[in-house]
Amino acid sequence: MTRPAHTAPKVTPAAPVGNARGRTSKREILEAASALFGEVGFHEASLRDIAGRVNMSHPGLLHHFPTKKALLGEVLAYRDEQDLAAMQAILRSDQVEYDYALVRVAHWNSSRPGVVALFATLSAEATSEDHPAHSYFVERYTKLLTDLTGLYTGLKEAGQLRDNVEPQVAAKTVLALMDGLQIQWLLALASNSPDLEVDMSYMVEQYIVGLRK
Amino acid sequence: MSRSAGYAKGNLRKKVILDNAIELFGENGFAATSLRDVARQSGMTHSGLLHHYPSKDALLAAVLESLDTRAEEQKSSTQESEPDVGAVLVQLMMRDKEDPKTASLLTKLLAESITPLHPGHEYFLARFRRIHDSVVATLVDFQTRGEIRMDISVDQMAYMLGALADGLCLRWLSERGADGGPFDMVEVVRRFIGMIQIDHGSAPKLAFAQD
Repeated sequence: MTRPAHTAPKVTPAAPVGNARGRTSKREILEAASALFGEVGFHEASLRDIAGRVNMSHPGLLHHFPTKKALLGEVLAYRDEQDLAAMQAILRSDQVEYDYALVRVAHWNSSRPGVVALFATLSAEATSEDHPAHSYFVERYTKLLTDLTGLYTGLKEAGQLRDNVEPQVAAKTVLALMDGLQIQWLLALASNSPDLEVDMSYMVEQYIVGLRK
Repeated sequence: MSRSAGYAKGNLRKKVILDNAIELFGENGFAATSLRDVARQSGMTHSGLLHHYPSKDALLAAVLESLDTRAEEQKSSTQESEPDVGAVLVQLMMRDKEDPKTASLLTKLLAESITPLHPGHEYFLARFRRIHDSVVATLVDFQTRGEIRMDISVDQMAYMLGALADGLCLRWLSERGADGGPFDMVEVVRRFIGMIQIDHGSAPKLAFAQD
C-alpha cells in the first residue's frame, strides 16, 4: 500500500550506489515516484530524490527512466492499469452501473491516500497547458465524461432519471464532486481534522442515487 | 523625492510584485516558483524584491491576504442585491473563481497545501471551514424561509457545494482554450442548486434525508 503523503519519510541524502538486494524492481521505482509526485508535484520532485527513496544511484535510475517526464508517463500508465483492472473487476463481478463502479473505486481510494494525492496534485498542476501531464488529464476526463454521459443518456431514455436531470450536467457534476471531495478529504486528513473528514464515496453515492427516480 | 512620493512608489512596486506573484504561483504553483522568477518578471533585482518581501513565505502571505481583501470588497459591494438562493450561493462559491488568474492560483495552491508542511496549509484549512460555515448558514437561512427542501442535511450539502465548486474550477481551467471552449461553471452550479430548492413538481430529489 502507498504510504500516506503526510507521513512519508524524508529523503535520505547521498543515496548509496546500488541496492542491498542487488536489484530494485521497476514496480518499486514506480511506487516511490508515485508517492513523491503526490507529495510535492511533478515540478518539485527530482529523480535524485526518487533514486534515494529506493536506494538506487541517480545514474542507475536514469538507466531505467532517462527523464523525469518519461517516469511520469510510466507512473500514470501504471496507476491506470491498476485502476482499470479494479474498475473491470467491479463491473464484472458486481454487475453495477458505471457510476456505482466509480463510487466503489472512490471507496477503495479512501484506503490509499497516496494515490489520491498523486491524482489531486498532478491534475491541479496539469491544468496548465504546458504541463507534461496536461493532455493525459484532459483525455482521462474526456473519457470519463463520455462514459458517464452515455450511461445517463441511456437511463434518461429508459425513463429512469428524474425529470430535470440532464445527462451531461449530471455527468459533469458527478466528476466535479469527486475531484473536489478528494481535495477536501486530503486536506482534512493531513491536518488531522476529523470533523472535516468527508466520506467521499458515501456523498457521491447519495448524489447518484438522487439523480435517479 | 518627497517622503510621500517614496511611499507611493514603494506601494506601487509592491503591487507589481504581488500581481506577478499571483500570476506565477498560479501558473507553476508556489513550490516551483522562485523569488528570482518573480523579481525577473517584475523587472527588478532579487535583492530589490527582498527589500519589499524578505522571504517567499512572506510573499505568499501577502498574496493570500490580498485574495481575502478582494473577496471582502466584492462581498460588501454585492451584498443583499439578490435574495435568490441560487445567486447567493453562486456568489459565495464562485466569486473568487471568475478571474482565471485567481482561479488558477487557488486551484494550484489548494492542491499543494494538502501537506501540513506547506506554508499555505493553515490558510486553506481555515478557508475551507469559513466557506463551509457560510454555506451552511445560507442554506439554513433559506430553509427557514421555505425555499430549500427540509429533507436535506445542510452540512452534507455544503460539503458537496464546496467540492463541486473546486472540482468544476479545476476542469474549467484545464479546458480553457480547448476546442469545445470553456463551459459555464456558474450554470452548472445553478442547476445543481436547482435540485435542492423546494420541489415544484419536477425537481429531482436528492437522497439527503436527515434522520
